[in-house]
Amino acid sequence: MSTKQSRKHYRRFYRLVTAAVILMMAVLTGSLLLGDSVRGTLVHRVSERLGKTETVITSGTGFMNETLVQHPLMKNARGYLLMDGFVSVGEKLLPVYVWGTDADTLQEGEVMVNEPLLTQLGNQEDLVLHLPSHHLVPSGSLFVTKSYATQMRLHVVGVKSVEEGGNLLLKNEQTLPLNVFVNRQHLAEKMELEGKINMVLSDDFIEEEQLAACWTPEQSGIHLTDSTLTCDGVFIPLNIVEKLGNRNEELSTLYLSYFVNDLIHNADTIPYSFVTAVNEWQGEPLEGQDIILSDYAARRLHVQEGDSVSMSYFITRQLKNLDTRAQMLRVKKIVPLASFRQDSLLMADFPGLTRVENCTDWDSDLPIDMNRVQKEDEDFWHTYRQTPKAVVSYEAVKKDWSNAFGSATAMRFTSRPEVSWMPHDADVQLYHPRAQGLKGAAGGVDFAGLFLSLGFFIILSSVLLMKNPLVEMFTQRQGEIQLYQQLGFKDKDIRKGLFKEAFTVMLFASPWGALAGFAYSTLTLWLLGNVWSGATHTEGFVLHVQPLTLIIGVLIGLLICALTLWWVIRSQLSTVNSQFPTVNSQLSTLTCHLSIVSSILLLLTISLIVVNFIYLHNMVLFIVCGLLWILTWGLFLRREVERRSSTMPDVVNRKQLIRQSVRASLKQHLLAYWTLSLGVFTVFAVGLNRPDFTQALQATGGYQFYVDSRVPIQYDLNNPSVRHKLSLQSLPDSTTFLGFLRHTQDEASCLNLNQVSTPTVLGVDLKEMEAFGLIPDSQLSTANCQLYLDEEALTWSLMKSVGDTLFYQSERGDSVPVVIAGTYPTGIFHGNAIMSSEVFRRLWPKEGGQEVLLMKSSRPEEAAEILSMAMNEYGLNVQTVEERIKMFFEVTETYLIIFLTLGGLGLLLGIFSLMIIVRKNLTAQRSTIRQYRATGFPEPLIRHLLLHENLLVPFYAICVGAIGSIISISANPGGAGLTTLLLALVVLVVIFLLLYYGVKYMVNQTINNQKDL
Amino acid sequence: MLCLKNITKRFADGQRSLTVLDHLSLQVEEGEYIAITGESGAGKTTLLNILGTLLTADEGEYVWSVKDNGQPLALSPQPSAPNMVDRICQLRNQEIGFVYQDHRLLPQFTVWQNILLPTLATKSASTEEEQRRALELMEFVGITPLKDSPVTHLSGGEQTRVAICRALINQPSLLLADEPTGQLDAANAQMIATLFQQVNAQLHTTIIMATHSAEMAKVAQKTYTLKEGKLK
Ligand SMILES: Nc1ncnc2c1ncn2[C@@H]1O[C@H](COP(=O)(O)OP(=O)(O)O)[C@@H](O)[C@H]1O
Ligand SMILES: [Mg+2]
Repeated sequence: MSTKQSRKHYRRFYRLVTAAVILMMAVLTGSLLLGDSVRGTLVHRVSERLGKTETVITSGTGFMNETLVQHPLMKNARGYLLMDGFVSVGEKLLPVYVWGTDADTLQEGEVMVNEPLLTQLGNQEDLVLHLPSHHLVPSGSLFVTKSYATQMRLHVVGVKSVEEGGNLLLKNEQTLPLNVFVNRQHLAEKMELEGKINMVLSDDFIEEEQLAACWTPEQSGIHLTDSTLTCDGVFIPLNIVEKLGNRNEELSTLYLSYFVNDLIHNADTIPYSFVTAVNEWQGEPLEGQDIILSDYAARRLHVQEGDSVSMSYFITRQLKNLDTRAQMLRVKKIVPLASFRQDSLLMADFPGLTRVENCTDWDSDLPIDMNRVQKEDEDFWHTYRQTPKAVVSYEAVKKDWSNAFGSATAMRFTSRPEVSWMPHDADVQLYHPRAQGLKGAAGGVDFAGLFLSLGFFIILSSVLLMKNPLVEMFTQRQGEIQLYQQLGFKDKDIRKGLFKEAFTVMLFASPWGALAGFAYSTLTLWLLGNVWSGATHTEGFVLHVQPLTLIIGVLIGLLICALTLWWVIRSQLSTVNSQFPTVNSQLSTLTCHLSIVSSILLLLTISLIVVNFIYLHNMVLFIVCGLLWILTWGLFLRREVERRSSTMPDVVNRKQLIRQSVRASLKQHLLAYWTLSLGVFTVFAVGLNRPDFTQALQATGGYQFYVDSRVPIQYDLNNPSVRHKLSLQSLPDSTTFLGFLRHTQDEASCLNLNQVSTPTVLGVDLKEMEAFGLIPDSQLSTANCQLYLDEEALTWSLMKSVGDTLFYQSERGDSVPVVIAGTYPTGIFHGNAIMSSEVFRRLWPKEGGQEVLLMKSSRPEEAAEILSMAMNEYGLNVQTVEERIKMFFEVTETYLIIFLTLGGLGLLLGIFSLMIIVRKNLTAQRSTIRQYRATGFPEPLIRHLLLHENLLVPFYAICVGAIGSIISISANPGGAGLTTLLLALVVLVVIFLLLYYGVKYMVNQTINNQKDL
Repeated sequence: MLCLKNITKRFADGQRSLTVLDHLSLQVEEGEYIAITGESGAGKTTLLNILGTLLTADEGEYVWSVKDNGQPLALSPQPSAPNMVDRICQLRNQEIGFVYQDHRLLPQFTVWQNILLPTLATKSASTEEEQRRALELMEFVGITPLKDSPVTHLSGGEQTRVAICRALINQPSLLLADEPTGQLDAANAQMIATLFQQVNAQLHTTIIMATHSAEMAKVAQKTYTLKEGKLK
């Protein structure tokens, strides 16, 4: 057998086979390359966003001294003041990271931005940067100034490129951050944080122990002398108090200063005084209701030792919901004011309250009534400032006066305490972002698998496209095969020979296929960054080629080729002697059964659809209905075609001719029916089936808006007095808010392609979450930390399941195991872990401000307008819940569009390969055409008959498949977007037209080619 | 009824051209039974195909005189009248019945459907009249029990009879038969010969039959021999 000559002689078929092989290889290797490329791009992005950074040192809500980076160990380290801010461009608020940096020679009022931000800014050269006010005293505590936000007007002087670290980002995300770089000194001055940093990035890999060696408490603003300890942040962190408090031998006194509303005795009142709680005063322990008054206070109150004094003060639990609490105290002693002044520890330096000239200048968050401040008070202030007017027992007020930031404002020791200080005592923590980033990138969304499944139809169709010409060729060569058999060749050898002949063609086609794979993945990468960026939320994907992947792709492709070829050759050799399919003479009992079965099935399907449509609305059931539908009509088709001639009337008509012809090649037509109807069904059912948008919308607890605040909101917006204070009094009364605490970690929504290990946590009262479909497991004890995650994020972003444990770093530096206790339906909170606020506060007590709010109102638009106007310096991003859900569903939508596009292409290819079958059929029908002609059938009639014969089943199949898919998506009829529906319609119309004109063309070809009669 | 004058037919066979029919003339009157003998390859089939309008002659005249309106229809050289194609189709369907050497029954249809096939050329369904005629014809050739059988299950003789029924279903005035007994045994051949005689006698159908068997030729009224492209 001269295979070379055979290949040449049958090149018409081999050309098609080559095309099919190239196509299949292209999709196969292209998808695999795509997986590598996306992963490669994500990995590359890790090094882009981290630069050379190996170690990150943070100080939580507190700050560190800039001198920390002067340590020899830190020679490759840079100190930053990093803040979350926002920039408004037109109507939009862009959340930005503000990096106070020393690296660039930026002057006051100058700013550098990174490229993504520059694109957003357009040609705007000046920008107003909004920042939350940071103080040494955390905003969450009571004694801070009113202003929570500040702003800077800056001039853009340059762009920081990727190479210069412009895209610096410490979170595991592929989306490019919006970064703003300003001079750290200037930023610090603005915030009154001179000499402070809150982040160190080092190019060296620094171990925990090494950090401990170069860190001292002084670096974190903890001032320790031989006998005293004070803090820049006024409040001494709880763990330090505990650490030192456990060593009773050295500790003599704890100090806790407070701002007290009133000291009252009978008719006499002193408003607004500083009072300090201590556990002993000059060697004398203070217990219970003891108060030691200064002589000044005693004089104003007209009291003597032993008298009772009432002290009232504000207390707050959460969100500065103030309560006034009063205690009756007994005057233990009256001492000269001067003796209070001698002990500087009695005086705390609260911002806004202490560094002012007059009491009336007090700039505080507290509702101070200035009318009550008398001349006497001002006089006292001018001379003595924040000198306490009394000291009280520490034990008596400890509970009321402590807060998340500390339970003391100073400490005094008998001798210097010998403790080993650890950085995390002052919230200084260290981590290595690169390993985490690479792990996230490597474990991210598997685009290879994704696109293999999305492009599945193309692969399947190209296999058909490969198979059909092979079948046609071998059918034509049956004479040749028979000859070989007569000549005494063994079947095995004939098979081998044919295999060798055809496989060589495939082998030669495969490099071209791999090459086409490059093109395919390059094109897809481009599309993913542009047209389909809804799925990736970023651009700039770069082709990364791994030779091994390429080889694997080609090998798998060749394996598929070999299997297809082997299958075709085998079946061809076994049918080499079989006859032209003939009319079945036996009355088939099957046909009888078919009628009954298909009628019952039809009834069942329709009733199922009706019941499901009216009552159940179950999506899976709808899909089952769609499949049943296809099955039913497939059976009907079979029954109709197989209907026995004896049951037919004696009249012979053209319809019968068509039916009989279809029946003659029933196997092929049924194959066409199943592939086409199921293909159309799958492509459209999947492509148009939106995840239930309405269901997600129902689980919003009636809230209409999702508000994301760049600046934590420290107030309870449901409180009328707060509304008044924030100029929100014009909000409709019906407006209610639900606030969430937020511990920002990784974005775990579908917008992030990386694998995520610790999603961002929202803290809320879990009872409130029931409206959102989160049913807390009441069985679980609250002693353990638990969180709830939405279903999608859990499976896709975390790749974990309920019961697994995540490890979060608490403020104290411990790695806390948190169990995934359950899931909630994916909706507005998609990508956020939900935790009870109680547990949240235990882990991150200082993050007491709300960053996420839900709002509902009877006049929603108006409320949203008022809210964003009044709180514009908070950088509120007010979204309707619909918008927010849509944002997430856009990702799915994009994937579905990709599926629809690729599936549509696959279908078109499938139709193309169907044409090859039609061509083969028509060739086999030459004698029919001849006979029709000889009998005097006019030419148009012959065309008509042949066209009908070959189009009937495919059209029927497409219609059944399309209606089936409509049934399967009727769970959510409005779900598919208009563009998707249009796309589907276009695909459907193209399929019909292609089929019609393709078959018509081939019928004409066949008729015209056959001139002889 | 029909008249062939100086018909020439050539086939291009690669480079050289083969003249199969060479200035052949033939006059056929209504009701005649003509046998054409000749060796294999003499051009019998070609001649019948030209008569049956399945082939057109290269040269010469072919005129068909139509019974009713008497206007003769020139089929060769083909006039370029706009409705000529339709008229030829109609002629083929209504006036000419053809029994082929290889029967040309369509395997996907039953005997009944094959027989009634020609009735569908002008309308979408067969009439009761036609069905009655089909039954009569089947009765006549003796294949009534095979009515609903698939044609692939029939023997050669049965297939020939089905082909005859099909050829006669539209009551043609001319029946062309190309070696109808070519592949049959003697008994079957004899039966077909008788059948043709009956058709000619009872239905008054003009028959032109090509055969290479002298026995078959004997039953015809006239016998021509085709040799070197001419009838003798
Ligand atoms: N379509 C054709 N193309 C070329 N040669 C043909 C064609 N049809 C018939 N011939 C040739 O014409 C000659 C006569 O053929 P035919 O009419 O079939 O003879 P017969 O029927 O007498 O056996 C043969 O030599 C045959 O090879
Ligand atoms: Mg012949």
